[in-house]
Amino acid sequence: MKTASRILGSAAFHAGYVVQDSPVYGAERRGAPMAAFTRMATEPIRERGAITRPDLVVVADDTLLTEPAAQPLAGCDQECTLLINSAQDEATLRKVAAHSGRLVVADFTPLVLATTKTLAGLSTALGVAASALVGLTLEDSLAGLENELAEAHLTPSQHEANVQLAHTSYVKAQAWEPIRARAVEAELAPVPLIDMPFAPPSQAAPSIYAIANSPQRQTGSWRQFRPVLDRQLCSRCWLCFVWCPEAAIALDADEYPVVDYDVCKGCLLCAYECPTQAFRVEKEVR
Amino acid sequence: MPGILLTGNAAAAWGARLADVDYIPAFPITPQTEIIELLAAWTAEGTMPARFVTLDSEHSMLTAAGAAAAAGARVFTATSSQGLLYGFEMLYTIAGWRVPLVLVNVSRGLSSPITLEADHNDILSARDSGFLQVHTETCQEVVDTILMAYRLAEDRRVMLPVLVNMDGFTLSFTREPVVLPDPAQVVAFLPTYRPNHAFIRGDRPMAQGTAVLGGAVYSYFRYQQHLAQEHALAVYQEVAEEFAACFGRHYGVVEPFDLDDAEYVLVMSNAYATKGKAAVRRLRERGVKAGLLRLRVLRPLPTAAIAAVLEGRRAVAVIDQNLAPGLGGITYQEIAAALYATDHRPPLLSIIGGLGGKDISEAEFDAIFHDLQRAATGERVISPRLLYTQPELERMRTLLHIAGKEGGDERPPGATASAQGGFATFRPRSGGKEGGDERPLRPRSGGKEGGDERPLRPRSGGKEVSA
Repeated sequence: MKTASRILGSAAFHAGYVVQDSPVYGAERRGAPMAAFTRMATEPIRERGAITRPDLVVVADDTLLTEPAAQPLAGCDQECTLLINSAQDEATLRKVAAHSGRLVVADFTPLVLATTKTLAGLSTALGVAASALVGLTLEDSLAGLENELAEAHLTPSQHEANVQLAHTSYVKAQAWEPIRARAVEAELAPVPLIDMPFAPPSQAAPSIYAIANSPQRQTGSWRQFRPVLDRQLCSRCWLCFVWCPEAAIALDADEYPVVDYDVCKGCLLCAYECPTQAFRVEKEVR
Repeated sequence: MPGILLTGNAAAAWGARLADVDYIPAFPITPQTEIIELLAAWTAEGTMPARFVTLDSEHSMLTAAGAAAAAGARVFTATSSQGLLYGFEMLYTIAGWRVPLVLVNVSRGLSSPITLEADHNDILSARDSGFLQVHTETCQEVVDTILMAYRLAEDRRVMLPVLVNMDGFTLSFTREPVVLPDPAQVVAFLPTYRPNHAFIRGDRPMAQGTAVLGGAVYSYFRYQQHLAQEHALAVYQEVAEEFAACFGRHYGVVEPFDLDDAEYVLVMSNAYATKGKAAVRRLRERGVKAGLLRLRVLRPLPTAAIAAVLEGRRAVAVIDQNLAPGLGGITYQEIAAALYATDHRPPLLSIIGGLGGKDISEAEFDAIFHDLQRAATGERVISPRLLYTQPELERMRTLLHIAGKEGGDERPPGATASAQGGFATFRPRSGGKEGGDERPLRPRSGGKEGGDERPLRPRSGGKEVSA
């Protein structure tokens, strides 16, 4: 999504806007929630970092809506347009998101997988869709895409697939009415400052007393593809059990591997390492 | 919009490339890594004719940087936060060698607790090292400042290394429009380095960094660094004028923003100064005569320029994105000292904000201006003031709860319970009887008590020998 934010940024810059884009992330692991921000303006931009009052929020994965570590809807008010990439219907998502403003639901994932064979292409689809939604032309959107693909080290066929995906995504998004930037900046409610109270050293030091609670951090929602074991093919060599970086694979009483889908992030190392190809890879459907 | 979109990190790498540096000792650290990744790629593919070397630590990296500068090379390197502190000893050492090089620091809050986003305790810890310091606000300023820094460092009236600071994330990972200076113009502004002072050659050996005993000898060399820093102020003005003539962008030692008629003034530095400027414009729309002074050159500190700008204002707030525990904001102390000798000292508030990259919100800027207006009428206001809100404290209490730390002052003995229940204890599964999986504190022995223990010192037939 950093790339999607940059495609939008480069497209807007190509169209003559002043642009600022920036990602935030801490845990640099594929699949972990992350956010990126793009600002475009006709005069110098004097804000930095997270966007407090977004005009458009693009959510690439509907599981993020209820993810406390992500909070993609922070600052998303009545005037904000929310674009969610999801196979779910609008009514369900409106309820989950509790969003009163404009909601656009589209499922780009099947198109992305069909065109580019990899979910990384979602950056292209959503970056270009966002460009269309903010009213940029196809030419600007493609120029923005080219600027980012130049650094992506793709093969010529991958490059061509992304350009094709961009065309299709733009046409799809063009059917939606472009968003308008909010006319008047709403005054934010004042938040009074407080005096920091003294805390005893037990609370003032960044130590954690509650031990072994990391299993409570369930990362199953990060998964886009699910490894499914075929016991007929499994030789019980335990390689998957050893390789799994999340220790999400246990052994049952008969010493067959069992995947804990609450924790499995869908990295598919198990399927990659399995000498008998006993893992099927299935697209996650929620 | 002219230029290209570049991150602060890419702008720093371009600064080094345009400056035609000879040698780049490198060690990666978030959020600086992209700088050396780019330089590694360019030197590997041959588009940048410099020698790129990875070192085993920032201490070695800075030692190599200083040594290469002493051998007459134009040197660039970069670090951040813990890395700057790891190499800290060499900062003072290199400055003492009186060699010119440019070191970019990408600001990041210091451990503990360990974090990634920006504040300025890292760079300000080096404020007395002898390095010059220039702090940048935009990606454009990063590339421009690196070019200016070499002119400054290599000037015979200065001959000191320069630290160029940019904020992690808010500049390092943020793309903005940047106009890259034309290489031909750069050569005119910053010609090839021709060292004629501190450089070692095979046919002209010398000793570098010699030991001196006796305070009078040490004082002589140490104070020379101070005199060179003082010269650097005048040299900076020349360099800035020349840079403006070449590239059309002028950077003063400080940057005044909306100050002509300003009554209430913020003093800020680095990337968040941009947000301060936005706040000033919002306040102006509401009829408040607000302004901002951005600190750019912090070493040498342009005290006269700062005092001249701030003297006579109705009230001034210094926002420090740093904290000296036991004292407060670091630059506040320096601004207060700069104003001490003036006739019309304004009320001066100390604000601590943006620690560990915490946002400074519009509401917080409003609160600062509210305090400034009260201070101007003689009302007492809290200073130093930490920018912290009730919702943030409540979120903190939730985190303490999750960490199992609500309640008592100290850790209760044997406390293992998770605050959220479940996973309260973690012990290996055991097929045996209760407690049977607990490891004894000392190995069981088949023989008599203590029989398998090795004595602390070898038994000796002879007399005891002292070490």
